[in-house]
Amino acid sequence: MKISGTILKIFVPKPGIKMLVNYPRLQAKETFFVLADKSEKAAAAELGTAAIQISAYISQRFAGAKTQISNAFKNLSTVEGIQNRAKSAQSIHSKILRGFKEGEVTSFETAQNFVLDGVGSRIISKSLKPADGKKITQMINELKINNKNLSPEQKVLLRKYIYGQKLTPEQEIEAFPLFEKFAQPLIEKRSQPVVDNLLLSITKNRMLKEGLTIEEIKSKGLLSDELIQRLTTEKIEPLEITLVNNYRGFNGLPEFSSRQIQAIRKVTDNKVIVRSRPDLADYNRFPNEGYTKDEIKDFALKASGYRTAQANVIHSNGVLGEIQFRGPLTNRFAEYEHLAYDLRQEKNTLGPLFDNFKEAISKLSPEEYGEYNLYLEKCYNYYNRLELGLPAVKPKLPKKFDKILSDDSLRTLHDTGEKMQKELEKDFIPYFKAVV
Amino acid sequence: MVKYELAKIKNRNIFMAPKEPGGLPLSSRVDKMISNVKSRIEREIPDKGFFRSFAEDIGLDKNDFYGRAASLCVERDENIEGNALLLLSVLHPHMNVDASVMLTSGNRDALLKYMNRNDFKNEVIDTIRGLSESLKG
Repeated sequence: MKISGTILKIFVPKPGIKMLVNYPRLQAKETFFVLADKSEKAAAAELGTAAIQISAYISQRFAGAKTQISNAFKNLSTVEGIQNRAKSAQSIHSKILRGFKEGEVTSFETAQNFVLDGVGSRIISKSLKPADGKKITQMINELKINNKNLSPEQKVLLRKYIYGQKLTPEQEIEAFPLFEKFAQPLIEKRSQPVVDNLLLSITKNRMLKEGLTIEEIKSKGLLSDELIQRLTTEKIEPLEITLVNNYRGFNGLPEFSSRQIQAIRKVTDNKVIVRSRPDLADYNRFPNEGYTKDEIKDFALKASGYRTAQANVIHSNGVLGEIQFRGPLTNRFAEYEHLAYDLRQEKNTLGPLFDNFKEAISKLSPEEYGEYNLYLEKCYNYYNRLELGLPAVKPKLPKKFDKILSDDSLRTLHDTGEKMQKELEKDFIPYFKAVV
Repeated sequence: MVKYELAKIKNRNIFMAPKEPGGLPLSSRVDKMISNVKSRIEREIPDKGFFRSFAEDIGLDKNDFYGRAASLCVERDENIEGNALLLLSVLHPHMNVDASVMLTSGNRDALLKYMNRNDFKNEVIDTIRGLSESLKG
């Protein structure tokens, strides 16, 4: 095996972004490298080289993956848009460096497998039309939880919660499980067409790869009659799913309901891990060991309230991808909400435009950051309620925080930064330069 | 109805030290968990009609597992009346998320038949290991 020498160079893929690389190895297209006993700088260069090689591998397969996602979801009138992106070399570098520090990345292959979202796709489902008061009343009256109608007191409580009326913390705790079940039909109305297509694509893949038959699908009750009909008459794009995350915040609603998650579990059989909190009214998965009285401090999937259903996928051309399912308003908010998280994770790639923001974030104590996360979660919940056509009140940033941390300010900063970055990237050609 | 002690939830991002499982070795604890779930399936899932989902869990030794606890869950199938999904779930040590996988689905008899297989206990232990590892990512 040929192993090229080590000459470090700096790769500049975008204005203001630098990555160390092992230049001879990159030129020779060698993927073999050894990280053990290397200095931090040399290891970073090997991983920088690997990041560029992985990025090239992904780029070559991007078009195929994009077509596959488009084929799977483009026929839906409930979908507002489909977005696809190939992960950049810089982003891959940052990820595999983390993997290296955690001991997970030790070779080119482990680095490649560590980047599960090489191709990122987003399926944005449209918002529902606003529900009128009559409809909401009807839904409250018809709501059953564990096969029982709500008591009159529960109905009053739920109504107050839906309309954002003042409740005590104890009442809010009691109202939220009711709200979760109240919103389930709305969640399903928004996302069912996308879930149906996902179920069909997963099933089609199993038919092709595992020989699953229509008879087995029927006898095991894997799909509804309507979906079986579609499976046998329509051209379905096969998708291999390997993991599902139904992310939401502590007081947030999921993108996929418990019923939809069950349907996904059944068509994926026992091969796919699902991370999804059961609705609070349903049941406790850990009645003895987990949620004991004095131990629970946190049971949010994402402290910031980040809400998206995500599926890891192996595209038919072998490239690894991640499909995200969300609404248009939470999608917009998610684009700039993560700035604070990235900074706290020391992913400091923001330019001088963000200096005041960085300072405000760095000043927050862990407790204050927790409180700020509560504000972000309220913003997510606000936008999600609008997507579901429910009444919503825009949350206010608590007065103790710098105004630069507000929703509106974050959005302006993000949009300005994007505009400036685009301007800088205009006519920019990536280049290498010597290490001084 | 509410099973979670939500009133206690005030502070976020707090690392939870895994609880030490007491007494019995893992194999015996898994046996007990399976036996409890089987009894409850026989008792609580009717031939027809509504039933409530339930779960039985055990603590995991922090020296052997990343996950904090494992649970066998019988989740009422919201799409097919009278059916249930048998899930295995492992709780993250920080308790902020659990990873689960469906072992099988069907009516009461189908679930019991699946659980009565000789290799079921080994499947449970192997799956607990896999789920526990998956929580590291």
